[in-house]
Amino acid sequence: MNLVSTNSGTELVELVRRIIAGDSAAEDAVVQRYRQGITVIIDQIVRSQSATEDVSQETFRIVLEKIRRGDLRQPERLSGFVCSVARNAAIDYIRRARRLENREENCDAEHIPDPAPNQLDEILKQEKSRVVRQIINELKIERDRDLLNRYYIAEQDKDRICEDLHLTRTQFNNVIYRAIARFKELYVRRVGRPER
Amino acid sequence: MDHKYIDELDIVDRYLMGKLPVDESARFEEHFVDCSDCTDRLETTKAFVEGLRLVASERAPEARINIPKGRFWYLRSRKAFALAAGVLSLVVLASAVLVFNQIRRSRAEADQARSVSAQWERRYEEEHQAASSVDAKHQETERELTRQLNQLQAEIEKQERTGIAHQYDGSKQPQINPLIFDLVSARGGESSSASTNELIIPRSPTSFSITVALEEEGSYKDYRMTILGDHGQLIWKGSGFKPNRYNALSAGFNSTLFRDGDYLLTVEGVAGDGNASVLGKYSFRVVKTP
Ligand SMILES: [Zn+2]
Repeated sequence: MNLVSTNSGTELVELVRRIIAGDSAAEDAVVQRYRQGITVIIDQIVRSQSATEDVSQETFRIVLEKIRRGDLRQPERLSGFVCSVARNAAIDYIRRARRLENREENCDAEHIPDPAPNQLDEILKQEKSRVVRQIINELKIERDRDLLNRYYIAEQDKDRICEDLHLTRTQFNNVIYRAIARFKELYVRRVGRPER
Repeated sequence: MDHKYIDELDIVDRYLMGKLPVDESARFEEHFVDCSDCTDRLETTKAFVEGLRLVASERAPEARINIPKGRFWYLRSRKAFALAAGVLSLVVLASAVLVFNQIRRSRAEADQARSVSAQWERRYEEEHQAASSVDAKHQETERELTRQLNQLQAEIEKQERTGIAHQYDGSKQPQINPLIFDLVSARGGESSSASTNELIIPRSPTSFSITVALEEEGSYKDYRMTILGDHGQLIWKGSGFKPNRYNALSAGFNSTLFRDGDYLLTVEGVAGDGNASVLGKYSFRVVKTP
């Protein structure tokens, strides 16, 4: 598996060199380049849109600080480094949330902030479920509904679903592809990017 | 990692479902963090799956599953939404969401013992730390670990089979409740009699897991855990543990190992040179129900 392509590697080395030299445009370029990707990594761990934003900011603060200090000894591995910092920051967030929760349970304190999803998260959830309901209602074949549920909800093995529903892998992939493409179309129309 | 490989092996879906091995997950992250095609796909698929799960949970009957305290708080915060007329198939599968979430959690507990996540997390910051040597003792603990893992895995598979059976029997509520106890550490000097953790387990032989969150990431090769009874007698000892992605350790047990009473779990970090440091003590009380 190819981890770092040569072109990308050279580009990253140059970005790191510029940041060490104090070029703030290069710092912005790093943030732009990795913002979307680290949002996915962090959200996969913290599971809250609002917390993900905070952890994402913290990640870039650490990443840029370490690059400026020359702590990144293999600049061509910048992507891996960014992922690593993002994972650690997300784990750190979870750890702090757990401590708060334990304290809350022990002290019965009411003033400790609730780490539950905020209002924005709730609104986005409602939009997602609204769009999905529409897609499910649009599906004409019961088998396709069954496939989506078995695969994404029950997380059954793909080969097993194909066997049970008498589908080839290509037919399976087509059902998934069409449903997700339709979701993207409807959801982006309502709220913009899927991440939001 | 190229896109052909990602498509053929369903890497996007498996990543989002948490089904990729830790090292492959890290390789994929290293790829997609700098690939807008993949991040777009990830974001869209993730949002779609969340929507599907929400729709399923809206139609779920009141869950009777006990989610252990202190773990995955975000799972507890889900509220039931008002029900609307809907698709019948989702009613049945709503139960499956809960069942499979529990199974996946158990599976994660089993996987964590093999986990090399700590290595990946430190990989870029500490750069190529020297690999530790594998001696006979370590191999012995590995064998013990494998035995425990197999036991736990068998239990999970059993639960999974039962879960699938329930899934298509709409008359039944989900019955599976893999027990996972998240222990809170004892305050300094606290005796084991002042248990803050109560493990309520069935009197019949049952598998369960104990997890402890590590306070900080040390540079330990691995971790070992010891459980003593209330008279200081050794109940269980295990070594070679690695933290999972949440920086927590977990171990699987059978309820037959314990009687009603107080216990003390000690977690130690084992350095590369074999020296061990006590990192935390966790008192707990086992209460068996009929
Ligand atoms: Zn890609």
